[in-house]
Amino acid sequence: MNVLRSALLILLAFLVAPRVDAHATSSSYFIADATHGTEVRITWDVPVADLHWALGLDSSGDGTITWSEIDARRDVIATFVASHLSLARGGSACEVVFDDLQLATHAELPHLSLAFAGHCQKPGALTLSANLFFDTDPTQRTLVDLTTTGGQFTSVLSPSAPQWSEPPAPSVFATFATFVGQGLWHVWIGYDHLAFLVLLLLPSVLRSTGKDWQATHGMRETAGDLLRIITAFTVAHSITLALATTGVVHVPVRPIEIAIAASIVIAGLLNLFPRAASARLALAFFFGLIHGFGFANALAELGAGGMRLVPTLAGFNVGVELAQLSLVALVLPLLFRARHSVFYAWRFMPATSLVAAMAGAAWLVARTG
Amino acid sequence: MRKAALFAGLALATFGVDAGAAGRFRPAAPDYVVMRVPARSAADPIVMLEQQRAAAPGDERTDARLAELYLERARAERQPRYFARAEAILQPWLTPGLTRGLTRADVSATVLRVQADILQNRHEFGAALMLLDRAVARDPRDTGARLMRASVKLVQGEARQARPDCAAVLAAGESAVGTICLAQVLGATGSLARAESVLSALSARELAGPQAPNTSAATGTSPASTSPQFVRAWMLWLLADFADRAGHPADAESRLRAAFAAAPENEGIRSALCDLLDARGAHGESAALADVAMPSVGLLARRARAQASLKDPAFADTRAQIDELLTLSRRRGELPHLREEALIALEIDRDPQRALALARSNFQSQRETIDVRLLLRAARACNDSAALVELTRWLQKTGYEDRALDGSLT
Repeated sequence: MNVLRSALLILLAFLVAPRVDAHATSSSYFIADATHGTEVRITWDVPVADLHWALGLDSSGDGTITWSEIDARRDVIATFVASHLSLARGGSACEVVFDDLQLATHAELPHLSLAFAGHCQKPGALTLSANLFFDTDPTQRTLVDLTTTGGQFTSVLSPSAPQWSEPPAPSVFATFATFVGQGLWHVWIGYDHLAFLVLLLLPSVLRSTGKDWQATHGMRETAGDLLRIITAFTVAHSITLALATTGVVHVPVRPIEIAIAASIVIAGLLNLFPRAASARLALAFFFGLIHGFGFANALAELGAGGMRLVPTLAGFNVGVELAQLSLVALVLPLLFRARHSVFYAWRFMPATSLVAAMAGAAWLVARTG
Repeated sequence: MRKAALFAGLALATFGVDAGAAGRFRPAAPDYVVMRVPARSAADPIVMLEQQRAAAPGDERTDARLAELYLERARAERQPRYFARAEAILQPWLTPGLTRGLTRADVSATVLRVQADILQNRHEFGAALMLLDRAVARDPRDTGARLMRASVKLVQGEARQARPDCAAVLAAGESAVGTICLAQVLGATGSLARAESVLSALSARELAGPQAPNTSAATGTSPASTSPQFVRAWMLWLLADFADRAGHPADAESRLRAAFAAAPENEGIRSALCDLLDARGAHGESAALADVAMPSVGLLARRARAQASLKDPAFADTRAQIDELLTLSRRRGELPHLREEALIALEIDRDPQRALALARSNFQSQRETIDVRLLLRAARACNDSAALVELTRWLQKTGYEDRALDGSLT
């Protein structure tokens, strides 16, 4: 028997072929953005090879699929793909309308990128089924990336699990509570906000007489001064936090980080001069505006962009205020007791302010570098 | 911002996804070539069988034959979509809703074997063996199932268990195939020299003879992997492996070069040649050899390794491409590429601890030359005596020989 003609040998030869690799198996990429009212913006990148399998894209039969062959059949392609997509929000189906066709590449493989608009009757939790090629290819996967008002989600749809449903969104109260926590946490671990606040607090138990410091008369005077300062700071940072988070104003991260460091240097140095005490209110307001942008950047980093705006913003701001108040409650009694001593006015406060100013200078250098 | 890390996972989990990597565009030229596809003729047996299947659905024999043809083509054209198509065709004959390894009680031996082949290709060896056991239990003379079972056992390093199946194939009158099968068993059970002489004799007899009429080539429809060229390449590859393990890398290289010339599309041969070239410092040739269109993770790893040795700036791109493929594979929920990842960790990322963990997991399912060597090198790099002892015990138990391992074990 000739070995080369044995069917069994051929079978055996097959067994040593290498394993099929991931890049060559079929994945489509489904990206949807459901943060624009009742509209859902969809981009679905589908492997050209699979579409060719299903629809026969090489019309000329010459062994190449050209862009004109695809473009000529764009409506057929769009209808075919759309027929494997169903979308619903708040329990009622959305109408899916084809919008545009482009090319894309994933893992070196050509994909057709189809843009659709989903017109839904109402907003609400999203339900999705994207089962393209699942009937003919058990290894086909739809890799899903979604942004909804509930947040960002990723998922993988397969023939055994072709559907995705948005998990129930947290209630307004839960969102508010979460972001109160975030606001608190942000101030307490954000050493630069803390440093600035402490610098504003330090002189509040003293009264400037021009060249010298005097202890305030009592809690009433101290609290009144502090109330004005903290209110100025709070009002200012609430304004810029709201402006930046709603997208009215956009300020890049880096200049803000630098300005925050500068605010600490300036506040620290001003504490060395009793004469400058009158500038604290203006200082608190002006740098409050800057720190507000810093809070907005922190909020943006939490990925709060797609979340409900009002409870998010309100929660975060309340959290920041609570953190400020807790700091005051912690520090003020100590300062108040120490206010009569010369050591506090001419040693402790200037030394602490100077150290803070130097730390601020170091951050300034690090952030400009 | 510096606080970001502390917030991770508190409010929202955001994942690094490939969404932005696509670079969407609309070609300006209408004749822009989006993709090349094989031209299909009406005489293509697959096309004919598909038509037959569409006209008279529900015929098990048609489905089994069609699935088999798709597997052939998947391997010849390195096109896994055909594997998927074969699986979809077999779907009605598998028990619905149950594990993929289960089929209906009355299903034919061909369906069992083709489905087993699909599973072993995905490295689901256990499920594949279950089907093959059933096929052999039903008909002990099913040489196809026995041969495939022997091959899976050989990959798993269970050569002794493969021996009865190889003997049965031989006894069934398939002398050449049975001999190749047994040579592999001998090569893995302490008789490497005999394996070499048995296979050399066979290949001298078969390859020196007149060229077999290439019946399938005449019709122009058969994939490359069924051609005599591929079979030649495959025997040479086995002989190269024997020579390499016997400590004759030069012989191994010349045999592998001949194998490569006969079957340049075969990735296993190409990868093995890259490994040999890299081992003797021929990184330039190795890098060029590993540079193919649509490379697998395995070939990309070889390319990255050679590029790193050459201090080639293209290394970073290759490394990134590997990560992209591995991330995609993980996201799709596929079985990990343990062999390739162990190689990457050991020889590219220089992370021996990770390499050892991967090589050990890999060794649970694959025990071919490269798997044994990866485990040994990783264990030595970590100075892990427990792993070395474990490997030594396996070598003693099986009698497996590889001169590359000499002096490295206790």
